[in-house]
Amino acid sequence: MSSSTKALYARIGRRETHSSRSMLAIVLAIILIVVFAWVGTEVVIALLGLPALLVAPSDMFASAVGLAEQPAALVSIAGIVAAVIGLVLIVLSLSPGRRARHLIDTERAVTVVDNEVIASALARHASYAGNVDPDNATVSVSHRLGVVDLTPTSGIPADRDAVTRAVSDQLDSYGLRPTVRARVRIAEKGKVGA
Amino acid sequence: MTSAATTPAGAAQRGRTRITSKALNRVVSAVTADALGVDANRVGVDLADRDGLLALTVTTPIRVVSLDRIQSDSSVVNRSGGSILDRAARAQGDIRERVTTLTGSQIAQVIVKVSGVWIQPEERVK
Repeated sequence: MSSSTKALYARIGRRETHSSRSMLAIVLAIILIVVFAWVGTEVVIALLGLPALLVAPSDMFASAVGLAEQPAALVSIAGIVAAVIGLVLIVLSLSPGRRARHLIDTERAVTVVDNEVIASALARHASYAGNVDPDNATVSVSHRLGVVDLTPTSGIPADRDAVTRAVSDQLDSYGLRPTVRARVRIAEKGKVGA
Repeated sequence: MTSAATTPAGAAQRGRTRITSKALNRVVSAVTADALGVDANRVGVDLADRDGLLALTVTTPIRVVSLDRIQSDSSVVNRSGGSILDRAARAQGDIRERVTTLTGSQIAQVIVKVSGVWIQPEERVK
């Protein structure tokens, strides 16, 4: 594989496993455009000496300057809401925006697999290795960790090591990127006749 | 089962064996009925889980010889297997062993509740 193809594949892989945040950016841009268009219109209307659409620019400045004279409770609540929205936006802009997906090492293509698919494959293997019913095996796969929860049948103990081995073998054979580690938890309480 | 269970030649290809609680109930009541000499459908079975092992509670009548018979010949108690308490205790062990053998389930405890007696005259061997 040439280096340019490699770079292209890396780019595609990155795009498939990360959210682009374009939706959020578009929504924010539209809101800002509408607000500034409205302010501009108000300014032009005020210069022409016509009645204001909603608020005249001079009243906007007056109320912004006189903010301290407003009831403290109202101002602080509005401030907190604005701060929270700001914080959420900052976190969203800095976080990696990962999707629940992994890449699989393949030679000829970029292969993307959903975490749910990995989880259901692991659940099948874990239920056989632990000798429990598939209904009693739940698996959740996150970025780096796959957690396997088994509820054994009463009187038939599940072998934790065997399950861990089976699940780890499977994870190794998939060749996921980034690699996923397995953690197996076996419930203390069994289920009768399941 | 090993990690190779789901390979083409692994155990997974054979399918899965599951013993339902209904089947367990039937097995336990049959074994209890056998151990205490009563009818299987008069045995009540309650299955529970204790730390991953099976806990059995059986409610059953027990077969005894009539008092008239004991009065006339006291050795009949020994011949019928000892006192009710002895026989219930022995039945506990029997039930545990045979249920484990038959179903492969590990058993934490067996509680035998004797709920009644079934008086049966000793019969002549035919």
